[in-house]
Amino acid sequence: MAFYCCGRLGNTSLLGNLAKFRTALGSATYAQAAAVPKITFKKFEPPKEEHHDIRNERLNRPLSPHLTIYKFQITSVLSITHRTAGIILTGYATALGLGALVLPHDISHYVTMIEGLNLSPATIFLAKALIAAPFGYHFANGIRHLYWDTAKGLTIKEVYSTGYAMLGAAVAITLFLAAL
Amino acid sequence: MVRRHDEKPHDHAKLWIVEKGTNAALVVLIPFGLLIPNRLFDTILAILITAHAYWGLEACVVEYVRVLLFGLQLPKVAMGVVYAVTALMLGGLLFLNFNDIGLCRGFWRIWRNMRKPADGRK
Repeated sequence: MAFYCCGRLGNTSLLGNLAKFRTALGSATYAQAAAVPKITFKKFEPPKEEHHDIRNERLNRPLSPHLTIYKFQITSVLSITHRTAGIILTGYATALGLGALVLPHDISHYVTMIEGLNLSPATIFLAKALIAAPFGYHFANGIRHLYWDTAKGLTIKEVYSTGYAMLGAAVAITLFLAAL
Repeated sequence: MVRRHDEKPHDHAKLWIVEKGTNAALVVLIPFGLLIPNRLFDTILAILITAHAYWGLEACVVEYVRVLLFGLQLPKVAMGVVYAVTALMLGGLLFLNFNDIGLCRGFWRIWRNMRKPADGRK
């Protein structure tokens, strides 16, 4: 009970009570301590809709550094490599599809052309490994992504361990395809 | 008023299921299609690969070709390029399947680098 009363007493200050009555004493004390600004009123205008990016550009706000300052980590490197491999594979598929549409001869003709180069088995293996690498990587990492989509393996430790396992699998798939 | 297709509220949930289903199907179909080349697998693969490539390219364009960096028109042009590439890819791959020897046999031809044996496999 005493506590309660003390609390209530603390809420009102003696001088504040004086200011309520706008006596010279009260106003003077408060006017010096906290200058009350002159209040003007404007008619309400709803804020003009402006796209977030366009407003920032209009105000010439700089973009915070991100790619230039953040340390490369295996998580982000594996992720961007996955995307890059996907883009390369899209290039392969586009070349295959577009080639089928516009090139004058069928596939056998171009295969004969490649055979005519008479490359050594080592060169052929190396070339196939280079061509198969994006596929091996994208395939292995794609399975890792599907694993994540089952809501498993999402701790940092598991991301790292599955990442290393994926790299091993990608190399294995690439070498297997190159040997075929 | 900037309007990008991802800024309109849309529920991605159903599309996500289709995308992941496509991914899972591809993981299974690519090895099997290469092992047993046949026209059915080739057709399904052509459609699934094109869809997968479309969603991938769309994600790249939406995330990198942004209005803030490139202005209002270039992102739309980039999406148009993605649509064109997708259409050409699908048309080309289906053409390869029905007017030439097909996706998987074609791959083996190029990969095995030798004349076609009687049954078309390696």
